[in-house]
Amino acid sequence: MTNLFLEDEERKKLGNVRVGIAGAGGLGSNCAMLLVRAGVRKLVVCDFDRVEESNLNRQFYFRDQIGMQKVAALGENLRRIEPDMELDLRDVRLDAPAMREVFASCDVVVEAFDAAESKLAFFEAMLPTGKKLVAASGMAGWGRSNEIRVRKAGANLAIAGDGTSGVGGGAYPQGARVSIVAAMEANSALAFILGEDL
Amino acid sequence: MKIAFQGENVETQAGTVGELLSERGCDAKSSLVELDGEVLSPGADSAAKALHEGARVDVFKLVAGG
Repeated sequence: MTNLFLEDEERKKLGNVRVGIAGAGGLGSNCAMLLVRAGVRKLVVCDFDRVEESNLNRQFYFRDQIGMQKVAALGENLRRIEPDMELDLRDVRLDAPAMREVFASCDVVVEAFDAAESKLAFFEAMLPTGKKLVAASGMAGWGRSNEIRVRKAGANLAIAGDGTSGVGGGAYPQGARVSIVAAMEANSALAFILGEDL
Repeated sequence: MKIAFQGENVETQAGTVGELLSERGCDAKSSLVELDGEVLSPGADSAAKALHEGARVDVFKLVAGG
């Protein structure tokens, strides 16, 4: 039992819900960590990548995990927070059909990709499912904390970020802003699960 | 016709979502569109969606990073 500050009903909802996370980089790894700390106990996490030194400025990994598959390293780290969990960790590159299949059993799905075209593919695949979705766009660089926000789109989608600060052209992903957005994604997923306002 | 674009009332010559994105300088390949409270699945179908007087359109720009 990690979160001692839950009402019984909240613990039940968080323990029963299944959350999918597409990507285990700066957004996905930190979002997963926050969801587990909050009380979520069923996660499906997908990523095809390995931990690299360049990830350590923002991702929930450690130096001795460099070279490991990200999903394996993330599973190890999440179980240090809460050993008793249902973790479905998949070392796969997700295309649209795979997303629909992998996240079919999930109640809420978090988009945590880094490439813009992958984000678009996520929406193409997942919007028609009618599931609650949480996504992110715009988090590169430093400062400008108050430009980061969550926008609701339709009844089932929340998008976190500043909507403009893309990585590339000399703009890099830095831990502070990426973590703010990851926390907003986690908080939005929790709001969907618990029936709170975004 | 008059529509609400990004929360502001604007006049547009566009008849479809795709034409509106083009008119407003939005890249359709990196934009997610909400039309009258419904999020449109990206792709050709959403570009062809017809606008109407008083339509509410919000565009979410998708940029790299994560």
